[in-house]
Amino acid sequence: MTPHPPLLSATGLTITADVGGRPRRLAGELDFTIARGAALGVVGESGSGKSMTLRSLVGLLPSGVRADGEVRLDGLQLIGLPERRLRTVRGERISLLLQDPFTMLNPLQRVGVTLRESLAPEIRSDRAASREETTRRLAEVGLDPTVADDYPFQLSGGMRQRVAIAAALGRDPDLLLADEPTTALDPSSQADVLNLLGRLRESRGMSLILVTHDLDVAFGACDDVVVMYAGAVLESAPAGTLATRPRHPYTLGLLRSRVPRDRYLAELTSIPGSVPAADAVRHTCPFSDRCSWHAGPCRETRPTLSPVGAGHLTACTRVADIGAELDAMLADRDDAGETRAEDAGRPDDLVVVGELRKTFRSRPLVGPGRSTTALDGVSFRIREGESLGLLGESGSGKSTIARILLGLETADSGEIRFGRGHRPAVQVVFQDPYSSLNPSLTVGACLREAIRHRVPHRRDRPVPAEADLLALVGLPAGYASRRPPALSGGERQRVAIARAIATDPDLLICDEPVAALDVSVQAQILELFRDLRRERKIAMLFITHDLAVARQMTERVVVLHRGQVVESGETAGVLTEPEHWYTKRLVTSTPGGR
Amino acid sequence: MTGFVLRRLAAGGGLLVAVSFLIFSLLHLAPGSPLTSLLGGQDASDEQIAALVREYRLDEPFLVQYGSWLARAVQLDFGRSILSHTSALARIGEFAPVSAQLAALTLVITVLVGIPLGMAAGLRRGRAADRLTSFAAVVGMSSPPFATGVLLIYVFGVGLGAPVFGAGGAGLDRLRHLILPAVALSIVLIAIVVRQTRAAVLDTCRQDHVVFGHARGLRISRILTRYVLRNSALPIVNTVGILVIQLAAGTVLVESVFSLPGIGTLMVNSVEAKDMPVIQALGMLIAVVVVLTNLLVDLVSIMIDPRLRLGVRTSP
Repeated sequence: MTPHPPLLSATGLTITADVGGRPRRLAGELDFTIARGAALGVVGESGSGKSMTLRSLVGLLPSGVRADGEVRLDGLQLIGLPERRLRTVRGERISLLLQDPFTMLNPLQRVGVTLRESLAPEIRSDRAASREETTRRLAEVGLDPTVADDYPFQLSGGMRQRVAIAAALGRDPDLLLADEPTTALDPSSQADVLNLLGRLRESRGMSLILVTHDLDVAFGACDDVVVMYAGAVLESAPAGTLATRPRHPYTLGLLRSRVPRDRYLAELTSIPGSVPAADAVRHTCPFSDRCSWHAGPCRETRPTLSPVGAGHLTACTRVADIGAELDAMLADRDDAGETRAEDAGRPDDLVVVGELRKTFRSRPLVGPGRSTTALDGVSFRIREGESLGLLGESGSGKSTIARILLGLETADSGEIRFGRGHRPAVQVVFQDPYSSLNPSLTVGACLREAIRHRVPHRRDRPVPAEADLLALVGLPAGYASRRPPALSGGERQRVAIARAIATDPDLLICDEPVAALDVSVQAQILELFRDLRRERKIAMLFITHDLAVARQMTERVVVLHRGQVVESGETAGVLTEPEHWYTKRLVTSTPGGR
Repeated sequence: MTGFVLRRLAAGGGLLVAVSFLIFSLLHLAPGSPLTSLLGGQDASDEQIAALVREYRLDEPFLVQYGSWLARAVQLDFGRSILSHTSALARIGEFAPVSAQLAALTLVITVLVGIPLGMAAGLRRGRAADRLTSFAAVVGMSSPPFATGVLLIYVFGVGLGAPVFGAGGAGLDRLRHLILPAVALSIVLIAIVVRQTRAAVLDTCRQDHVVFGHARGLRISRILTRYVLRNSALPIVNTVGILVIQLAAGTVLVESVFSLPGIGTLMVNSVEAKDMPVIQALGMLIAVVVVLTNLLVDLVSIMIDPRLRLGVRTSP
């Protein structure tokens, strides 16, 4: 595409972890290049090896993980470069931005200090010049000069990420590596930070490698996109081509797994199964186990990338046979219409929440105590069998409502009435299945424990068997003897759902239940929630910041902002024609627009 | 800030009052009457007994006795030592300097050796240097100071002629006399500091902000001090605080091995002789050291971590 040699090129890059003395491959035989000033998106799910690949480029792999192969930066071989030389590359030529703005900045250091130490030595040594430069850098990322005197914990996530970007660019590197830089942020800050990265790239003529699990983020911010899966590159193409004409079944699967926010889909598409370990699929097509087009040769050798168009490479050996089918399936999804399968809930109220207020107080060791109003007079109702969405960003109070409904927190004032005259059985599925299951309990023991604690007024109903519960969430009965660490994220979330269902609840609170899951698995779990509703008529309170999830999973939504309900109504109506400015901002802010 | 110090001082004062009550009760809990305790088994004339009864208000109710004892204790008057016939405080004053110097020297050695060793081990996790240090820490932790003391006397005193008896004179001579006992005391403490520091450094090195520091090409010295050491400092400071408290009362065996006239020796002598005023004064002294050390640890923690100073917001 460019006549110049690429800024950075990787050839045969292989990343290996040492697990108890035995080498285990995390990613293998990767080839990719990035031109000066270009943006490359690396898209992949967890276990694809994308983050390790990124870190290997600056020699910052965790101990026990090593990289082999060739990575050339303007001809300089980076792999195997001694640490002393690497230090001159880092910051100066290549900089790395991490995912979590809440842990990326030194918590004991003011923002100004973090910025100053990131500047080039000749500016850093001059106090006045470095102060001026710090102010200029803050302005470049859209922050006020006074932020320099703040500590990171005094800033919001989006502001912290801006500070981190300014710090990463302190020595004006040629290439910025960004590892999921927006994943930990609220949707509105996500769009801001992405725009900022794009603007900085343009004004500085800098190259960017953006690692993300979100196809739309990559499409929106990058010229070229590489799709990684289980430690291999499966497809690579210009963003526009990849979005409209994918030439690998996995890419198609990812595109089809995206949950749309502009319309309701009667059936959400997902890729069956889960991502294998890179080491297990070294000698086959890594995707063959989950591919509906796989044939004999797919399992016999590891396919290599071969060209199928201008700048378009695919590792699918069957692409000549199935290309037309791939196109047809992508088009098919775009035609899917708006028909709702669920009945819209019976009119009786299950829970009526009135004027709920809650203030948290923190007492620092020094100085006056602070109080934060989490809920400022929140009222809403959940009808029998209905699914209600609670939309809001972090700090809006949505999780506090969940905790109060669960009895884990007490409201300062307000009331919660129950339509049936007695307290309904309430259960919860949390966001992070990696921390919500006790890792030392087998799945069976976990379910038996939940069954034992069924609420009294449900004791007359038949006791569910573990195997039935597992079948209900789509897991084989043999999983009862496994422990959570042996399960994938999606499988863990299924166990968490089975545990919630075991008590036969009237109301299931789902607190961001797919936010921590891979794209191809999200739709599986959402479909599972839909099945459970159809079969059991459980009312659901779906807490989410994701408008697409709200669109697919709820009949009505309540929009929360700073502890107050700013808008509520039918989901389709609120999301199509929002009235409150805050809802409007939510609706317009998600990257890609979908 | 001053508000915090005043609050903590008030709390510490309350704690000291509670401790003083227990310490005063010793007089009544000890076998025999308070009078015999105060006489320490020595013969006394009727006038002397009358004077003691008056001084300690022994003819009045318990709480009144306590009140008058406390009033005098606040003015640092704990009565007269039975053994030396000087005031209890003066008697402590004879023994305290050696102990204070020994504790200070021990602490300096512990911090100067323990923290760098622990950092080095943490930074070289799993390598030979780390394994050696961790092994040495286990050995150190399981070697009692009196035994190491005897070993040191044998090696350095008998073998190399270093001074091993008494506290010596002043200045350098004092230092020469205290160095071996300080080493004997610090071995266990170094082992504790090494393990705490290593754990804290390991934890900090895994943090994103350290990786991000490397990614920006910061100098390694800056990452080690401003990032790793500072962020590991809170648990280390707390550990050192506990060691200071331990040193305030726990040097008796080493003092006896090296024949040092310190607080430990005084404590043993006073208990043996049932020298109640000195025992009470020592108890209060140690309580004051504990309260002040804890205050100091809190102040240092607040200086290190702005989140303690400014209070963390619960939501963004």
